[in-house]
Amino acid sequence: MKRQRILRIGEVLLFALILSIPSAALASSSSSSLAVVSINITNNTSTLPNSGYQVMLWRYSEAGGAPTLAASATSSAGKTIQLSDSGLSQFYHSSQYVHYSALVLLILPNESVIQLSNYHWGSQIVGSSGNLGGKVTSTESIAITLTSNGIQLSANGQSVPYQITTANPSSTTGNVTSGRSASAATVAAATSSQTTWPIAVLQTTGQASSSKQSGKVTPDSPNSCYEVGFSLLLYYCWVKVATWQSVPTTIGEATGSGYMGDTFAYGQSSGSTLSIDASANGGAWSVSGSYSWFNQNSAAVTWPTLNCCWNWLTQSHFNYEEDQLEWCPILICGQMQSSYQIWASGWNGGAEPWTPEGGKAGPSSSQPGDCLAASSLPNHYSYAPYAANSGFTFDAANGYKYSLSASLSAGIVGTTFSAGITDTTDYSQHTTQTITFGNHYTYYYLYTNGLYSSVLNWPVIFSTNSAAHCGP
Amino acid sequence: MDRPRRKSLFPVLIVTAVVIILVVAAASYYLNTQGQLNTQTPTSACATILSTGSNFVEKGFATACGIDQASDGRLKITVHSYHFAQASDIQFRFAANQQPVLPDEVFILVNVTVENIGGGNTTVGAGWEATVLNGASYVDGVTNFIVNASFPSTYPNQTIPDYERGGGIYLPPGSRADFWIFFYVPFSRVVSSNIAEATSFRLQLVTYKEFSYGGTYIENGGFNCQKVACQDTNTEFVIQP
Repeated sequence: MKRQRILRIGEVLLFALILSIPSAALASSSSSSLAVVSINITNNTSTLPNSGYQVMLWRYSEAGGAPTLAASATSSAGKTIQLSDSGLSQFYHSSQYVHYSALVLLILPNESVIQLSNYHWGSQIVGSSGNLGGKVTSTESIAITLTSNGIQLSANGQSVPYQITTANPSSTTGNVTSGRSASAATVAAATSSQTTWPIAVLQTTGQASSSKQSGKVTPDSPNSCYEVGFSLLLYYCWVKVATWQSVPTTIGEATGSGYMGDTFAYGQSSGSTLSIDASANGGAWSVSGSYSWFNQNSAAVTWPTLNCCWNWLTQSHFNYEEDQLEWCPILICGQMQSSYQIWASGWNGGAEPWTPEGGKAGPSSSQPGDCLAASSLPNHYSYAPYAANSGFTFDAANGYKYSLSASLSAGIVGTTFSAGITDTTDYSQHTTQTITFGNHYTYYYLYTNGLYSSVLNWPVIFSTNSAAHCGP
Repeated sequence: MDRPRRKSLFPVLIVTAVVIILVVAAASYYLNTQGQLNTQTPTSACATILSTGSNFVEKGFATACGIDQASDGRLKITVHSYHFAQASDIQFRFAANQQPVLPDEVFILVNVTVENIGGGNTTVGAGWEATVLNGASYVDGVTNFIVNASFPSTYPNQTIPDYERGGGIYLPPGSRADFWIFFYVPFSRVVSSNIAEATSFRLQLVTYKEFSYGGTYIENGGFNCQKVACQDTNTEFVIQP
């Protein structure tokens, strides 16, 4: 009996101990630190999804170098998420402020990524032991609102212009600084780095995006045969009937408003996804798939400085191939079909001189275009002023889509129609634009057309100046 | 007494035939779906040259290497000389819709000869790359610049690739072409002193990618492959000047 009572008391004590663990942990947590950042995302668009938001908190060392990921989480629109920095207790700092940034990405179902925010601030720290640890005195509250025209960012109740500050190193005379290094600048309250452009990124998806389609007389993956159903005895093959070498193909663009320079570098892993065009029975060509080429070289392909006005296109050279479909029943090939495909069979590299959009000098076909008055730029466009003689390099993580990046006509087999090739570029932050400003104008401005809204509308970097004038 | 009935071999023959057909079909299908596998590996000459640090050779490409000259049996490429020049000293011929370069931009001009020794048709256009050293460091972003230019009182007097001749220059069997190749040399800021700095640079390697050879030439780099096959050569020339 006595033994049973002891056992019963033990059970009660154990149960009480289990119950006490969460409350003790909570008490410990609440006494140690506040959340470093609180982020609320509102989606007022009809095109963007309400989920798929990735939120990251980065802490920067006073000695410089790469930041440390303090915390990360996924979130949804309409939800407030708080991130704490558990590693702060082991972080040495001489300043009473610690430099943080909050990076918010939206991952779309098509694997594109929109960078919604790369917001930087300094959090005051108290309770440090020597130069070690401590806790933040307040939680930085950030509200991000997505609208059909762009992204609005506010922090601690104050609307923050979503722009590059003139106080960052890019404004220093004669220096070309990197947008990446600028994010490691010393503590400054409520500033954003150059990488705050609302940039859409096309993720690298591999080499050939088309795949075998069993049982269809439809152009599919180049250089291949495919079976009918699951029979090894009945299959189709593509037979090469024509090639084109060194065809100029559009893979990018840049901006100029005059008295400024813009250099475009298509770096390692930058890529272009070019259409596979199909034609049957002598008909016109239509897009049936795509094939991607990426820069495998260690070096970037670089264009000389764009030194004048409006948007201009960059062109490089690709090889193309036309295939005809062949029917191979029971191992006997040779029955040629009236189905054809044209695809990009190789990238030759090289850089052609800048050529204007539409084949002649003029404004970009993208809206709103270059050389607008700074006062007319809507707040929801990301923009920033730059002093004369300043400049910077930024990662052009966006991509462009061209409905006609190359055209083929002479020598086509099977149809009299010429073939137009579309191109969706894939920069993935390996393509850079280095922009330098002269001293002809007091200020220069760069701005974007905002938000990715469809595959035909990629954010484009535009430029203007204090005279709102495009000209040499 | 009945003779024992001999067992018919017909089913065995049928089964054997079906097995053979399936094996051949599978092998044929496999070969057809594999495309053209490139199993060539760099030669010892290439190993020596590529050990200098270049990693230009594209994955899956065979290599043809040499000092001043290299050949794969189809093309023979010779690099004669090179020099640096700023744009103001080059007579570029930009098309009306092209933007000229700044006068202080720097280019390397490489004097090259290509001979078509393989008996088939070909063109030579883009596909050139260069590695340039500044001391022990590589100059990043050196790029084949595709533009036309005039070369008065100079030989060679043409550039490849030539913007005005889309698809490059046509080389029938047995022909050769002497030309200049432009490579753009980027600097962080374009100033007149760039050319003085560039004269201490050294051209380490010139490479050329040969993707295709053969076929019936049409125009503008186009080939018909129906009567004469177009070969996928996928060979990279690596030449040390």
